[in-house]
Amino acid sequence: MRKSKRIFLRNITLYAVVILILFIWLLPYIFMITSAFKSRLQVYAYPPVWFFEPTFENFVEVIFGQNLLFYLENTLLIAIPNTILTLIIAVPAAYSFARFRFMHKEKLFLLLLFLQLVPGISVIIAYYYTAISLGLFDTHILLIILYLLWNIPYTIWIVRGFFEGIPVELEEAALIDGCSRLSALIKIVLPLSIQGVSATALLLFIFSWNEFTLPYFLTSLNARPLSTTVVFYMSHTEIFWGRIFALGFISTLPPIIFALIVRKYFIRTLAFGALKQ
Amino acid sequence: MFSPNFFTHLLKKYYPVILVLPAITTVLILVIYPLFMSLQTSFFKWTYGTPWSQAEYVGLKNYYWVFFGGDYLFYVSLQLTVVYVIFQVLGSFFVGLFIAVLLDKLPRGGSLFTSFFIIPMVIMPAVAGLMWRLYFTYDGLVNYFVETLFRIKINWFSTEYALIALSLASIWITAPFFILVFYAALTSLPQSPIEAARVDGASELTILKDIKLPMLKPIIFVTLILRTIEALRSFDLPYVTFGGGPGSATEVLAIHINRIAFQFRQLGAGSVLSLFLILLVVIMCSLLINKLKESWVT
Repeated sequence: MRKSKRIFLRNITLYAVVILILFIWLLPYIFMITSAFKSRLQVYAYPPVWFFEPTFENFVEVIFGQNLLFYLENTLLIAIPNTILTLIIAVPAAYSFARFRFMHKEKLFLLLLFLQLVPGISVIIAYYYTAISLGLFDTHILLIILYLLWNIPYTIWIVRGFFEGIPVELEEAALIDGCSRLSALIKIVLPLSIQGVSATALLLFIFSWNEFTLPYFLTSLNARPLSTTVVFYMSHTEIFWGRIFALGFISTLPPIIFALIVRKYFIRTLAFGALKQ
Repeated sequence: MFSPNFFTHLLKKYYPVILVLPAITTVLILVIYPLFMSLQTSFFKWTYGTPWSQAEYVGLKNYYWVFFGGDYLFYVSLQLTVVYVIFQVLGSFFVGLFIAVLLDKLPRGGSLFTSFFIIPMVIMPAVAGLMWRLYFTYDGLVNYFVETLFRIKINWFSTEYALIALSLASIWITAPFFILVFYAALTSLPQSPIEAARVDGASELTILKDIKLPMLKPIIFVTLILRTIEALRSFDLPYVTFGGGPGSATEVLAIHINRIAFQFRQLGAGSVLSLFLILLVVIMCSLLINKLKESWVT
């Protein structure tokens, strides 16, 4: 009785400590969200204002004054096709890595993982001039293709793990029944790993949504995505903090909601790679 | 001679490779092509904004300029990079490990809390960077807390403090990776040695130090190297927070490349620096490969 009470007390303190740390940890973000509803003077106030009457002027300015929907559309026109294309190319490859034996398999696998570590800023000069000479500068298709560099290896890495978690016997039975490898992948393996693969797809979407370096250099007026627009609010004379925060609020919300929805798989997907090594 | 059977045989034999081929060729082209182009441009004097036809072959001049004093900021930038990377990686490692250990102690709900703790990781880096930029201003949020606690205010936008401020902001963004990995690793550790030690009366701290951490050692090594590479590569955060300034106080290599290539418009020298950054990443990768080989052998 006494011992269980002690454990109970210990747990309560533990939760209290964790919640306190979580609050401090997320305070910068919480403060940003609340600041998005502040008027211009309140944003700069010192000491910071914690309680105030919310105003929507920043949101109105960002959404209607700065053509937010146009940039949002660009982001989606890049992120969605890229996610689909990545899956089409990477899922069969992941299946092959998970199920077959072939020459230098693990070396090829590692090579893929290392290639995607190439720094974006190091390839930007080459991409910039190639894009211009091919007439692809400032187009959606350019970024859809370039993001493949990071997204394909990542997807193969993760999805291979999901596929290897599925027992081979199920496919073998289907193969004996005359099912081809490809239809075994589509009809048996994919349905069994659909949650993991969808979580990976959402993650790819988040990556494309957040990407800054490449679109910052490779787009101008036509294909510029949302992630690079915050910089617009920094003029030489003034930075419009209220608007940046409003834009920040809008643009960080979808990834956070997605991440929380696929919470279980998200943790597994992101941690998986590092753990498997 | 080429009967349909022949083709089906060929297809069957190379089926695994055919499935892998599109992925590998796409990635290879996207990496190898810019590498060769950087290698080529590194031997040319080429001004940003002019067509390639006006580039002029200069041999090793760009390399000489970058490494032997012409680019007086190169070694400064290299030093800053080393400090920034060490500060960020070790800082986020300890913060991440601390939070993960705490979350692992929770009887339940650990994974729910984890997903809230990793929010900084899914926020747009550009937004997060700008956010910290405002918080680090003289009358900003950070100084508000510093003043409440220590009764002083720090000028974060000064040469002495800017790199520290940048590192602190980067720790907030990168620690979630460690939280995530260590939480997943800690919860999947085999329980029997831990239980045995507990029965023997070992304190929780001893268990963590002498049993759990040694078991996590391979993961710790891999994650530290991966984060080092990530810290070397990252351009967005240093760019939107301090943009290399004040002066060149936060001009890490990624920022320096941008400065030389696009602000000073020297694409040749920029290519030399780009290749140098890639070389650093390759060195880190080879450390990783050696470690992996070790663990394959044993």
